[in-house]
Amino acid sequence: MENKYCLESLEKELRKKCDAFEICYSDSHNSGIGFENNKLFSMENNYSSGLGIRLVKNGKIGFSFTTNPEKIKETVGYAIESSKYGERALFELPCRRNKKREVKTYDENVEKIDLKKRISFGKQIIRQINSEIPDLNISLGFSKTIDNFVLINSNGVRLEDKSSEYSFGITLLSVNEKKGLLDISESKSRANIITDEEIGGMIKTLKTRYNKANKTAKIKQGAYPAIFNKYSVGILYSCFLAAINGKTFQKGISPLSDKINKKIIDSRITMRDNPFIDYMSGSAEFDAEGLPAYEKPLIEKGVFKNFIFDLKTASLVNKKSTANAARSFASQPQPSFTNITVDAGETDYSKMISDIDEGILIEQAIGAGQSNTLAGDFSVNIDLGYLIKNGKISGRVKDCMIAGNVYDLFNDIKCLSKDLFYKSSMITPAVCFNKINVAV
Amino acid sequence: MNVKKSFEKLIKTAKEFLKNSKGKYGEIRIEEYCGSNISIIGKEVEDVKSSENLGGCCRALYSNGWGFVSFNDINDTVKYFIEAEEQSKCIRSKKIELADAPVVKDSDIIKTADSPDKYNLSDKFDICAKYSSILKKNKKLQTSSVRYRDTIKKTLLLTSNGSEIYSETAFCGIACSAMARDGSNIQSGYFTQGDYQGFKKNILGLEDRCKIIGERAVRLLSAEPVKPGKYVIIIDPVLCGVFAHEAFGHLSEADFIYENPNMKKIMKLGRKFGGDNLNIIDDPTMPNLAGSYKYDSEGVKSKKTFLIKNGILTGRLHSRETASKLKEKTTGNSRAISFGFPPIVRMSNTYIDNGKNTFNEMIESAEYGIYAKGALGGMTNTEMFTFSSEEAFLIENGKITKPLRDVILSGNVFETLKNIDMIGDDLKHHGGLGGCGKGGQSPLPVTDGGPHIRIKDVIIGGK
Repeated sequence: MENKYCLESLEKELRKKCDAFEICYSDSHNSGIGFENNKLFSMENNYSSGLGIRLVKNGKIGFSFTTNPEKIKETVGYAIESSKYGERALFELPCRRNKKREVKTYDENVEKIDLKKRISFGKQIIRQINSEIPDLNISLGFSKTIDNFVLINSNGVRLEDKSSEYSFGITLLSVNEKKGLLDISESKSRANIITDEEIGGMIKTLKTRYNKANKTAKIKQGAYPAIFNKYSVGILYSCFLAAINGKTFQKGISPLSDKINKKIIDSRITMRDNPFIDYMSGSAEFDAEGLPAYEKPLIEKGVFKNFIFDLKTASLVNKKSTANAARSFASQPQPSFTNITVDAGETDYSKMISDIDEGILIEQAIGAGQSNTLAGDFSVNIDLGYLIKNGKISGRVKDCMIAGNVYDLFNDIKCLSKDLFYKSSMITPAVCFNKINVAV
Repeated sequence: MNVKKSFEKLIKTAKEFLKNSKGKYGEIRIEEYCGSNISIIGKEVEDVKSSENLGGCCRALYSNGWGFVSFNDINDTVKYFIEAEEQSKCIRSKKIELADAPVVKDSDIIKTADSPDKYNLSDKFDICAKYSSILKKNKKLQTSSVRYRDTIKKTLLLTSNGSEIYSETAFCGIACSAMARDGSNIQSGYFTQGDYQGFKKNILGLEDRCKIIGERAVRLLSAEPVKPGKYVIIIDPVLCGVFAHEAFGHLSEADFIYENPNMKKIMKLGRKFGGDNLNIIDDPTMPNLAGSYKYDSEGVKSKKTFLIKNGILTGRLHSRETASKLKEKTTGNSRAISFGFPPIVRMSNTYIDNGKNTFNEMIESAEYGIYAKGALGGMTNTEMFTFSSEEAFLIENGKITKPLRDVILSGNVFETLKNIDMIGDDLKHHGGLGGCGKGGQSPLPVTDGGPHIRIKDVIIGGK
C-alpha cells in the first residue's frame, strides 16, 4: 500500500508548499479468531492503512489525514486550510537522531503464526474448563497484528518501524438467578509469542479466581483494609497518570503543577515510564515525533519527578519534550506513557492477604474515570471483589461501592508485595491500604 | 450518489459474485465518508481538520461461522470476499441460521437541507471560537473545551439475497465543557448535542448554554460532598435516558442472551420487571435523531420495539442470527460503526416512555433524597450500573435544599427497575457527540431518553 501514497512525490510537493512538515504513514494487518458461548464463532482479517500530514505554514500548525490514496492532493489542501486556524508552532521538528538503546518490538514468529492452527487449542481449553466447571459461557480469542509505521519530516527524520502484537484473552461468564452474574477474564498482549504453557497458567489462575468468587459473602458499610492487585491497581494509577500527563499540566488543571521534587505520597512508591522492556506493548526506540525514547522516573520514593511531554505541549510551557509523543496517522501527537513500572515492596503477596482480619481484595470495578479523576477521587462499584476474613478469602462481595482519593490512599499504604505482576504495559506489585470506605 | 457512480464496475462484479456464492449468506459494505473536527481546549486550538475516508468490508457465512475482512483498497473487494468465505469455511462447530429478511432495493437519506457540508470550515471554526471565548470570559474557570464534529457518510450495502441499499447521512454535533478548580476540588459543567437535524438546530444559538455550564462548574465548587448511603433519588431526563440505555438497554440485546440458557431464563418474555407504569422502548424510526436509520447494517428494516410494556418484558433487540435462534421476529438492530467492524446487536433511540407524575409531585413526595441532573458518564456490566451525575441537590421534607457534589449512583439493574415508583410526563431524547460503546465499536450514534423519574434505594458512593 505504501507506494500507493507516493510518499516521495508527496514530500516534494510539501517542501514547495509549506515551512515544515511531517508525514505519518501506517499500515496494519490484524487477524483474529474468536470463540463465543463455548464455540468457534468468527474469524477476522482487518487491513487498514492511512496517511496523516502535519505541517507548518506561515508559522502555524495544520493537519489532515486520509485512508484514500486517491485523495492525497485534497488532503494536502485540507492540511494547509487547517493551518489558517491552527496554533503558532513554537517548536521545531526534530532532526535525525540516534536511538539511546535497542528494544525488541517485533517477533517474526508472530507474523508467521497461522491462527487457524490455534482453533484446536481453543477448543481444547473450552472442553477442559467445561468438564471441571459446568454451566459456563466461555469466550476466548487469539489475535495478531503486524504494524508498519513510517515517519518522515522536513528536517531529515525518516523512521521505519515494524512491530508485532500477539494477544490472548479469555472470559468466563456465569449467570445464576440467585447469585447473579459473574464475569472473570484473563488476558495477555505483547510483541512476541505467548506460549501454551503460559496460557495454561492463565487458565489455572482463572479457575482459582472463579472458584473463590463462586461463594458469596456480605460486607457492612464501613472502612476496611483493602488490597488492589494487578487487575485493579491500574484504576488508582490512572488518577496519578492523568495528573502527570503534560497536557493536564499545560491546561493548568494538574494537582501536581507545583509539586515537582516534592513528596506527594508514601516513600515506598517509585513509578517509572520505561520504553525499554523487550516485547512489552508500550516499548519503542523512538517516540511518534522521531525523538529517541528514554527511561524516566515519574515518582521516586514518593517524590514527584517529571511530567511527560510531546513537542507541542512542551513548547507551550517552555519545557522540552520527554519523547512521549504517541499518535495514529489520523491524529496529531499527544503526550502518552510508554510502559509503567512500579517498584516492588517487601511483603509476600500471600502474607499480605493472611495478615488481614477483616478487609477486601478488589479485582474488577466498574465506573472508573467517572469521578473527579484529576483531583484523585474515585468512586466505583465493585464488580469483582472478595471479603477477607481472618486472613482468608471467604467469598465474593457484591452490590457495594468503594470511594476515596488516591493521594490520601497512597499516603496510607500498609504494604507492597514483593512479587511483581505484568499487565499489558504495566509492571506492578499488589498494594495494600490501611483503610478504604465501602458503601452498601 | 458518489459511491455508486464511481464504483459502478466494481459493484457490478461484486453483485455478480455474491449471487454466485455457494455460501449461506454474504454481504459487502462500501463506505465513503468525509468530515471535519474542531477542538479548542483552554487557550489552544488543539485540532482543526477535514479528512476523506474510504473502505469496505465483506462478511460471509459459508455454513457454520462468520468470516469477516475489512480493507481500504476497495478495488480488491472480490478478493477479500473470497478470503472471508475461506475463513468461514474453517468454522465447523456451530449451526447458524438467519431469520428471513425481505429483499430490499432502496435508498435512505438522513440529511436535512441544512446539512453541515453546506458550511465551510471557517464558519464552523468561528462558531467554536465564539463559544470558547464565552467560556474563557468566566475568569473563575480553570479551563474549558469546545469540540465539534461532522461526518457525511455514504454507504452501499449489497447482500447475497439481492438486497442493495444505499444510504447517506449527515451528522453534526458539539460538546462544550467548563472546569473550575479550588485546590484539589475540581468541578465541571458539560453539555453536548448532535444528530441528523442539521447545523442550525445542533450548532447555532448555544451562547447561553455555554455561560450556564461555566457558572455551574464554579457554583459546584462550594457544594457539599455527598454522604455515602442509600437514597430516594429523582433523576432528570438526561440521567433517566442514560439509565434506560445503560441499565436496561444492554440487557435487552439478544446476542447476550441467545446462547446462554440461564440468561434466557432470567430474560424470559412475559416476566414482570417493573411497575405497571414502566414502558421502555427502542425506536430507530423516529426522524433524524442520532440513533435513527431506515435499514440496519444487515439490510433489515428498522422498527419500534417495546422492550418493557406496562412493566412486563415484551421484546428484545435482534440481529438476523439471534432472531432465528430465539425464534423471534427481526427488529433491525444489527449495526456496525464503520467498515472496520462486523455488525453486532445495538440499540438506537432508547427511552423510558412518559408516565403521569409531575416533577413537583416527585420532589414533594421525597422526605430525604437527592435530585440528580445530567450525566458525566455511565457504565454497566449488565447486572450492575454506575452513573455520575453532573449536578445534584439534597431534598429535605419535599423541598430542594442545598447543592451536592460528586454524586455517583450505583445499583443492581433488576432491583432498581422494580424501585422506579414514579414516572414523569416530560420525555426528552438526547443525542450528542458521545455515543454507545460495545465490542470495541465506539462511539455509535444513539439517543437516550426519558422523563423525570423517582427511584427508591439507590446506592451513592462517597468518601
